[in-house]
Amino acid sequence: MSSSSSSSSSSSSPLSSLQQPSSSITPSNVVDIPGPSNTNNDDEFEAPSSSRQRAMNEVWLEPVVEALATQVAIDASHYHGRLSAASALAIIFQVCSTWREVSRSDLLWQRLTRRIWRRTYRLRDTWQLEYIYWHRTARNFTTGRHALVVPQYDPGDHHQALICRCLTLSDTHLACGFVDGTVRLFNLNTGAHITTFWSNHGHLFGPFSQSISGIVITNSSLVFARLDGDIYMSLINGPRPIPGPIPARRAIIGDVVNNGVLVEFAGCNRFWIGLFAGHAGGAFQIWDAQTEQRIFVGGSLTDPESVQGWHMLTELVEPVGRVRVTEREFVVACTTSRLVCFNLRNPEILLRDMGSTTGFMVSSLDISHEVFVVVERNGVGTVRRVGNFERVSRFRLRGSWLRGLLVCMNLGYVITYSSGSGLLRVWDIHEPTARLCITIAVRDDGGEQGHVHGNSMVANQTHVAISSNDSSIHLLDFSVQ
Amino acid sequence: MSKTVKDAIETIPTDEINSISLSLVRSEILTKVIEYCKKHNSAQMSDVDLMDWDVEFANVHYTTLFDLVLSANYMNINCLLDLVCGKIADMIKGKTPGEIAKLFDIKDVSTYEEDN
Repeated sequence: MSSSSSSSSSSSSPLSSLQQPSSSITPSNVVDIPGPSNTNNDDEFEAPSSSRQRAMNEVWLEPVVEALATQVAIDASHYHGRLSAASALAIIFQVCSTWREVSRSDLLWQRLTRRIWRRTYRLRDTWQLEYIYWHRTARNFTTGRHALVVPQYDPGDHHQALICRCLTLSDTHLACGFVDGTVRLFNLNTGAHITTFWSNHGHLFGPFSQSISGIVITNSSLVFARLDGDIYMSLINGPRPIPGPIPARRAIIGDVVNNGVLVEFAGCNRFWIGLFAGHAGGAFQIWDAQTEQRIFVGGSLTDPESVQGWHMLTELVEPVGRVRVTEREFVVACTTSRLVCFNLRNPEILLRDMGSTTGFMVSSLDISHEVFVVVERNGVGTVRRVGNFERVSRFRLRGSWLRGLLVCMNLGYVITYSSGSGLLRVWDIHEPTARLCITIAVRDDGGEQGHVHGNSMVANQTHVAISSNDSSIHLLDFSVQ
Repeated sequence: MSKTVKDAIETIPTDEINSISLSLVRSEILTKVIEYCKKHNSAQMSDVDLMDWDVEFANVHYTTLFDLVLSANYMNINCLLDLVCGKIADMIKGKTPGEIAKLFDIKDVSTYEEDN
């Protein structure tokens, strides 16, 4: 594993003060100045009597200070970005010894980790350490501090000629889908190959008809789909009576002739959704993930792209559409001309149906935590809330940055990759105008063989993965080492 | 909405319950707490209107605010505690630790106990 980082603007964080209470603030340092204090509400803060002094001191019970610290952190996160919550907390903990004691409350850190970093389970020894981990990892996305992880293929695996077309990340795994209908699973932290799943059913409707078009990792299972419409499932940690690649169970038999090409596949715990092209009126198919029964067919999103959809079976072309699913079961899907949104439990009703005067870049649609990003052909990137399409942030890419553009996002950041230049950029989307944090050159094997021509990119809160048409896969690890 | 009241109702036998003691809550503050609970249990207001109402409810003198904090904590009404703590958080926004201590006239607990 090699380490590299790029130069960028950096911000210091007083987060270290959260690990041990500051020793520089002692009771004698707190100056007691009688009379009105420096506040906007001077008329409300006359000097208290001794009885009021006692009452005010009685207010600061531990649950009250915890609630106050929580609100302060959430406010700071909301108005100034998640990284600012730590410095706001540090101020609270330095007010007095009573307030400082609250920094030892693991319940406080659990609440803050859930609210600010959207993490509901603990991997570190304490919730405070968990909070610090996610804070520092998020900060690494703004400073560019990362390590390169090289996926280690099985020695007997003849993968060199294979092109990876599809990537998915979980907290622990990287799953890569290839044009031959195989999915390889790697350990996200070490890059070690874990297993290969293969699918070997169905007729060939072209050299790329078995190409993987989507992978979903949920809890202990891995589900993947092919362009020909087959959907396969396997347990990630299931029994392995025979070493070697694992034949995945075919859950859904594809029907290319009648359904068209399964351009993209996505899902959540409860549903799977396929975006099809090739037959008018059948853009979306939805299955119940538990019963594997199809529950919906319909939609006209890809009607104009029918012919192009069929080409995906025989040529290595960009997908004609993209579909993404949120945790709250909202679907956002787009082609070059349209973007739609609906709920998986009520797919007949489009909640939004919008076009673009210049056209959407299909490879730029991505979702994270009920927020989605899409870039139009004029270079304008927009981040919106899925529920009400309220605009959260906006950024503009230069014309040269749009060549071979890949876009993905995680909590708080949009990541863009320009294959034309081999440069990866991280955008902080907290403000209405997104802020470019860093630019990283993604080099192939040390930087001497030229930049990486990406065809797929995915990100989560710790990693960014890029696959390319030259069979390489690059995994950037921004997590705290 | 109050876990304290709920626990009292659930633990005291039904035929013995005539009143629930809330000795730490002054009557005028209890009136405001009841007003808050009634409003939040009512289905008549939209979420947006309720948020506006909350802003007005919490726009009170700081002494009342602190009484509401103590009462919400004692009665275990988390949403009210979050609301009034949010108001206090607004008051201290942008202030240094020293300015916050001065604003609330906080003497460090150990110093206060030594003096008294």
